[in-house]
Amino acid sequence: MMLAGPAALATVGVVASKSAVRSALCLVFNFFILAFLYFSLSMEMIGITQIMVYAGAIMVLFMFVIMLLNPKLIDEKKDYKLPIGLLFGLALFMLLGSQILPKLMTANVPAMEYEVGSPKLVGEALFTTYVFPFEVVSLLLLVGVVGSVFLAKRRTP
Amino acid sequence: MNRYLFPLPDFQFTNLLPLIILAVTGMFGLVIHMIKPKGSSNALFLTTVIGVVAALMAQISMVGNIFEQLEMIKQDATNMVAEVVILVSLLTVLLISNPYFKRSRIHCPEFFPLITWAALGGMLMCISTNLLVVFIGLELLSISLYVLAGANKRSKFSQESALKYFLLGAFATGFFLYGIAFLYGASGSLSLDGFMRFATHTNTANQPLLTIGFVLILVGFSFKCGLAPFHQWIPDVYSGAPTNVVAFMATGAKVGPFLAFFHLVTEASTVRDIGVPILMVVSLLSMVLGNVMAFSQNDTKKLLAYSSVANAGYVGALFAGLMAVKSSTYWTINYFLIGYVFATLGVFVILALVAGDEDSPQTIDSLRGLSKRNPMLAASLVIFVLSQIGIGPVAGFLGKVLIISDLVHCQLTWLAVALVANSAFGAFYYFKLVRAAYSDAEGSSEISAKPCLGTVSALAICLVGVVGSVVFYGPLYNFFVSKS
Repeated sequence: MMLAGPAALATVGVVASKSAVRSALCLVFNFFILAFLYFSLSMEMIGITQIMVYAGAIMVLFMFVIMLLNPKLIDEKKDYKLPIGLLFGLALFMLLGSQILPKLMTANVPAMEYEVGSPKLVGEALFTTYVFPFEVVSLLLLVGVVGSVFLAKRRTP
Repeated sequence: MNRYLFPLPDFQFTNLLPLIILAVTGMFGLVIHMIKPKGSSNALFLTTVIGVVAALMAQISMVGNIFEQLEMIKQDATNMVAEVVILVSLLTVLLISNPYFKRSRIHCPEFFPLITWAALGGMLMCISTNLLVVFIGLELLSISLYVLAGANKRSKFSQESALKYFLLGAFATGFFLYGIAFLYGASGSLSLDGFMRFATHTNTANQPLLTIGFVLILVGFSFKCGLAPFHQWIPDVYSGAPTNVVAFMATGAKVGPFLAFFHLVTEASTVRDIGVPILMVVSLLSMVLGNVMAFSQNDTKKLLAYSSVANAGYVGALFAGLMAVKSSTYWTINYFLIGYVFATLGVFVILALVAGDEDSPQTIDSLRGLSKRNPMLAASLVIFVLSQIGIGPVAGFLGKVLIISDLVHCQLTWLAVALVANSAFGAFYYFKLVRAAYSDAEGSSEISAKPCLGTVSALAICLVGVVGSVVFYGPLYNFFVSKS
């Protein structure tokens, strides 16, 4: 609860704030809180990945895009779709919430073996059971790099 | 004493020799292009062809070698032919690519490594028994093809088709991955036979999850194979992308998804109640829509695109039958794919030869007067078209007969009747190609259509595939059965 509240608030902030930079900052905040949530479930590996990949790499990309495109603040006009959208959103929330929340209230925090999700186990799985997909993914990344270089290259005369 | 923290997996690299050769060939191609950036296309072409031939040799020498590794890859009778088919179609496409690129002034040295890796992805899909590996193979295949669809940077159509293919393909990938996640959640296993094991464990609570997962994966596969409600990308992408890339997209790149689909369908008997009706509807829709839409096309590549939708429908009908009776007879699909791949490739070889400068869609008129300019080409076009229609002593005919007999065997006679009716209807538009080839040239055919060595050998491969697989049907079948 301590973490979920701020996470939800931050998410609202992402959507509600008009400035793109402020949205992005809220998103970073949200990512960090999610990572803490993973830590509290003793899922260190996912938590670390969350911080490194999302809060680190992906947010930097977002910031670059925001900087490059330099979006202006948009003056939103009054839109008749807004109240209807809000209504539908609220209805959907009620519907889903009425199904999910009662179950969640009674649920306990899952008792996890400490080892599950630890970097050691993840690494071991990657290099034993899943070594073949792991190696093939490296080729997939290579394809991605070659493809994007080819597409981004200036057209040849 | 064990020097390692955990035991190293037992892995026989020699079993994966063809795949490794392909991967290394692609990387080698990159290095060649790096050393000699200007005018490297001939060297690249040669190395890639040598690499692919080596991989083909390794693959053929491994036919009948049954193995299973890490519970993820399994080579057995169901896929030993399919991999050879992929490699041969890759080789054929490579052979036509160099002259085609030169003629239409497309500069794309990355084509050779990328298409090699795409074939590698397709082969992975064939041999994998694990949904994770199937997914990675699918991505390897798709991402390479997304890029290759935009290989012609001067053509707006090519760029457009690449973008469309990428956006829709990524969307379909999302479905596929979501389905895998559901299946994993329901059965706790990513392996294809995990469903069977799960089914015997009798846990009906997870049945909805299994069903949702299966249907989502079905959507993903239907997209990649081009089955009817998910076929919209095919005509646009085919008509825009360079002809040699389309030749691979329509043939070699289809084999992998089909085989993986086949493995899934034959294993997932727990969701038969929903799977069979969906497959029936999808296949029927593909046949009808594909044939009807192809009928009114004037753009050759779009025509072939819809024809590939119809062919995917025939395979889908077979899948429905297999799923209905829990059968896993693999000979039919393998043989049908041989017929389909080589006949389609043959048509594309000829199309690539008469292709203009690719700045505009290629109409049927570009085939006009082909019989005057080159009677051999026109004659082989007739053979390929006959195989596509499914009449005469050609592979397409036998493939369809096998499917029909399987369907009747599975008590899906109405689907077999629909298939026959559709094939008959398909004859009309296929004959448009032949009629154009044998009519007099009018205006728009200044292309010389002088085939070079590569094209001739590509054509020869296709002809041998289409005719040879009928002539040597008996030995092929016996060999196949003895090895399995």
